[in-house]
Amino acid sequence: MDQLGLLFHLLLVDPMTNVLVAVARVFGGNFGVAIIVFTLVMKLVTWPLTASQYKQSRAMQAIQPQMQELQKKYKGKDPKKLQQETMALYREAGVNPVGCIIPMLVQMPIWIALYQVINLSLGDTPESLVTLSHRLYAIPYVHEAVPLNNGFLLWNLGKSDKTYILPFLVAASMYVQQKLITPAPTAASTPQQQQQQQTAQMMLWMMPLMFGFWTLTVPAGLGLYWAVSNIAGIILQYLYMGRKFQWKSLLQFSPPAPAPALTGRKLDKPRPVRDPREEDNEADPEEVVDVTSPSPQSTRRNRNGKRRGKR
Amino acid sequence: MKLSRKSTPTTHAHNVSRETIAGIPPGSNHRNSTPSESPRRPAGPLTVARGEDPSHTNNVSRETIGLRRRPILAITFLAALALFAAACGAPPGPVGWAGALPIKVDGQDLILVSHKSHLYALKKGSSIGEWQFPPKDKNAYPVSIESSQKIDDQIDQFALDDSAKSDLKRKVADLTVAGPTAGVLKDAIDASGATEVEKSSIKKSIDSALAFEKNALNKPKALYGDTGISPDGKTAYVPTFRGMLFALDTITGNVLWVRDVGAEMVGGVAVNGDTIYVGTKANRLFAINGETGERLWAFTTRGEVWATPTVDNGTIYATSLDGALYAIDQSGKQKWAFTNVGSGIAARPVIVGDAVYVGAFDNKLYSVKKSDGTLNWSFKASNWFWAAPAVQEGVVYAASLDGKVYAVDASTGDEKWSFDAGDAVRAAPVIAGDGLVVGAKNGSLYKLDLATGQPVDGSEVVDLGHKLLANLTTDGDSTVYVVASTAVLYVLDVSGALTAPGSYPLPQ
Repeated sequence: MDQLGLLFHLLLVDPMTNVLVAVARVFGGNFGVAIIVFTLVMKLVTWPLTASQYKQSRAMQAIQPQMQELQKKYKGKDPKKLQQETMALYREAGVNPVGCIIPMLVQMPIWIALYQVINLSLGDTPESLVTLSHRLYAIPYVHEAVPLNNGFLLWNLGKSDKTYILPFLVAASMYVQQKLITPAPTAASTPQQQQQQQTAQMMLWMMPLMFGFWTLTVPAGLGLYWAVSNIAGIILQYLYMGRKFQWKSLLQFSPPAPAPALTGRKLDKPRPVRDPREEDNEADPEEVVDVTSPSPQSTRRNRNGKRRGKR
Repeated sequence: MKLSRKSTPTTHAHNVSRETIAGIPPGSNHRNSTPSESPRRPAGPLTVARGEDPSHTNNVSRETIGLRRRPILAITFLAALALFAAACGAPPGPVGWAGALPIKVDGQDLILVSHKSHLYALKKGSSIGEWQFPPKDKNAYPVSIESSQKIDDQIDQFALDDSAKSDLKRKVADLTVAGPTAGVLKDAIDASGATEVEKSSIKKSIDSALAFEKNALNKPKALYGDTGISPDGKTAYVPTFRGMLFALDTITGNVLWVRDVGAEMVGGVAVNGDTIYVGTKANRLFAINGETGERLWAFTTRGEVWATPTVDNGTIYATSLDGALYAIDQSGKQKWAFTNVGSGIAARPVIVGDAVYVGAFDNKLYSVKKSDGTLNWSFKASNWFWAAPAVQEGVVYAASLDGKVYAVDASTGDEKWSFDAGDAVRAAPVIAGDGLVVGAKNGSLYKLDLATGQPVDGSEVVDLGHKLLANLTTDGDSTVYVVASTAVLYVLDVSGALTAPGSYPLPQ
């Protein structure tokens, strides 16, 4: 374990410390700016993962109409078949309902490392500075960069945030991000779907709450990383999704009730918020059309949507 | 077009049956589900489990497992996150590295030993504690002399006869920081003939004094700075990392006064007659009247002050993490500042003759003219200087975090010798018994020959086996006091070669 910790320090914590200290020095010793720059670079590095996440999200949106078709077709007649076809649809679209977890798992060592970097370089104790003296590389630019400015805006980045702003910001931004990436809940008809949606809904609430809670205890610098990372994520998603970006989906708070009996038409209930401006949106109108009349036109568009999603 | 709509799902269906998704055999199928009943059922495994066909139960359990996989994934993920939280743990708290200080008061020899957040007064050459601070029993700990004096003064203002006043004052003398004494005093005040206004005002001052002092005594956190001692040896000034500055009676350990200086103190207290000087992490250097605790002036630096200031001939020399060495006159005005330093300074400046010697975080040791703050020379090591150097007979002995001790010519800055102590040296070395006593972070102690830099003949390397960061101190003769990370005071006799130290466990 000790060896592992040593390796972790050698390969991750120490390089990160030195890079952050160097970047901080570039910005006049401001560690907050260094963390923001680092966060954005990390966002860039993990872009392939993020992009696949967005793709999935888009694919999920794109297959919604088909899902509804499936439901209409098999609902109450052949649940088994419906489930199978749903799975197949997911598979074909490359959708994994828990796919959003993977980019987070990848980032976890970075969080732990960043936590240690912050404790090391912004640690409030004189002891941590003694330790830092041996962690900084013998490059004058880095080695002479101490002391670092641990103040950034309202926060002491080395201490946990007592203003409650960062925890709130982290929780809120994470909720928004998750909400955007989690497909809007549909009226689940199969147990499978229900389970998935329940899981998704649970994660939707649990994650922001947990991260918000952690932000209360970890140094504010890590909270800043999370907040910036989430906000950058939201912006990236906005840029990626373009006009398909649905602010309104943020307003949907609860998963829809289980499908009422024989009301295929009302399946779209969970998406009641319909902005007229979105009518010409390629993805949205088809669902609207879907609700009113399952016209052939909509299907063609569906498939367009799906193809775009898989691109 | 209608065909195409139907064809898409059908195609999937084929794929599915071939691939057997989610553990469901391709042939299985819910014959029981009729169009009429199915929609009314709440969807979920329970519904399926009601199936009458026993063969279904088998399918169901498999299906259930398949379905539950996702929540399990989510739970695993949350568990991983919890693991992450645990891996982070609590950030390391301050420990403290104030050392030991030998003092003489009323003909008695005491050693004030700081360890973590406690200060112990030991009789010289023993483990017997005269007192410890903060006290174990707060209920028996008297309120500060200053506060009881203030309450006494208020009693003097009462329109009472002298015997009633002295009755009350006796109860003030018994007043402790916590415990029932405050109630006793307040009852006596209530029973006295003072006016209601007087009663409520004095009770208010009692409450606020007790609340403040109780808070000040709670968790001093850690002691880093050198304890300051008044010229008569009767008062010890103790700076805490929590930002409370205590003046203690060195004989009893009782608090004379306590001040909240507003920020953590890492450096110690310098004493110059009646005035004491201390720096804080809030970029301040304070001059305080040692007798009364009254603040005389505050000097603002651009960075945190981490080192004990040095007073020489009425001028205060202070360093700051802003990378400057300041010379400040007695009224708190800056005389000069030496700012030609590449990084912060956390070392105490040492003044010998016309020069100020100070090491910095830019790996350099500086010699600066005392009169105007111009540079004499600088000497470069390969890591920071944190410890104050020792200077004797034209040689500056400075230890660096690079693990080496350097002997540098005081007039030219040329290196005479260096010695590798094996680990970083944060603790200031001392000259004692005609040698230089050095303690490395790993707990190794050396006595070096001043001329050659080699361990004195016949000396053994003393390995305390504990982390050593606190400055070494000497009684000015041949005894060196060392405090490492354990609650033990080590006493080295360095009159000859270095031998195993005497160890005195601190009272618990």
